[in-house]
Amino acid sequence: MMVQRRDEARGQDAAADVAAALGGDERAFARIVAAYERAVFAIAYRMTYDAAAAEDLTQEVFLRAWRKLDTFRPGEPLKPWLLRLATNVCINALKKRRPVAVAMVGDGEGDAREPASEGPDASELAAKGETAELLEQAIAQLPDDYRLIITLRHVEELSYEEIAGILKRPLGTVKVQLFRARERLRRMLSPILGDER
Amino acid sequence: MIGCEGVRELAQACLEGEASAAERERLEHHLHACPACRQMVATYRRLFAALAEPAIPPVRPRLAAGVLARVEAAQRRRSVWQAVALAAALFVVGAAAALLTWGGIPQELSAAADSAPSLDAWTAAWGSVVGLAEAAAAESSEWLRVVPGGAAMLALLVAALAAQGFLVYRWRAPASLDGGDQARVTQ
Repeated sequence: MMVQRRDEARGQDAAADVAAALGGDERAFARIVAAYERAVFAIAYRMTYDAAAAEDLTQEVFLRAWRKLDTFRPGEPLKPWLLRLATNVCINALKKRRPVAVAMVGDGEGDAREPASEGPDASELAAKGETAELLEQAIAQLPDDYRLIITLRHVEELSYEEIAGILKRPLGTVKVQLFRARERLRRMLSPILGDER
Repeated sequence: MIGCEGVRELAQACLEGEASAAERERLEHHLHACPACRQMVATYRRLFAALAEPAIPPVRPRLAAGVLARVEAAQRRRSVWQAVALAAALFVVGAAAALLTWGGIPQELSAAADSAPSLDAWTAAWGSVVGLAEAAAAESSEWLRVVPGGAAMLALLVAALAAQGFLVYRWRAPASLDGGDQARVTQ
């Protein structure tokens, strides 16, 4: 509820800033960048796992947003609109460059990327309290679609409907993919989450 | 009553707050009797907690400044192209007005338009354009007086239209795809 109220308040501010930015007010656009750069960067980072590349993509997303601002419909929330742009920019960039291979935790379902040869094993890292790092490594091994959907749901805290709108997929598909992505993560991380099933 | 196979889906729904009260009750009832599923749901709970605290690096402060610098650069580029396009448009309008006021359509072209297009008519028109160029080169200070006004204006009009077409194309092309930016993204 708190998140919803905060988003509504931010949405009203964003509408005013969008109107001002459309009139050429760069300071208004700077406020939009400040409000949403974290969200856009998170998508870009999860899609590349390269901070420098993610920064470039984030800049690219906002540059396109500036150009396409006149296509934004007032009254709609700005965040899904921006994240749709971010998703498109990142997917297009991924088609041109594949992210680097990351250390693999262990996925039983078989369609993960190639494992890195010299990564620490799961129990060793878990002992150091690096659950978050292991989680990122596991997410990095998910297919692009699953990484996006996990990020949109658990980092951006979007609803199923908003995710379906951004990815232009049926609601049922979004739910199924989210379920499968989390199930795959649970299996990959079972050594540190404490369940071997 | 649910079986172990239905626990995963229901557990995720419960942890997201998407399950109904009846579904939550069914899950609780099953977990009470099934230690293995209880263990699995505990792992889901830990997974959801971890997902809520991602290890995504913080955004560097200079990122916003970089975005604004690129926006300003794009604005400047657009302003320049807008000014050039406006000048070209004004020129086209001026040329058209001059054509209508002083020049009229060159005699050769007029004759060609009245009859079926013939090689002779186009050759004559081309000759007048060449004559314009030669006259302009020979007597640049007095070219406006020397050359047939209509042919000159027509040639300029065509050139201006071509230039404006190019400018409109260039103006609409996304500046973000300029070489430097693209190279940085794709590395």
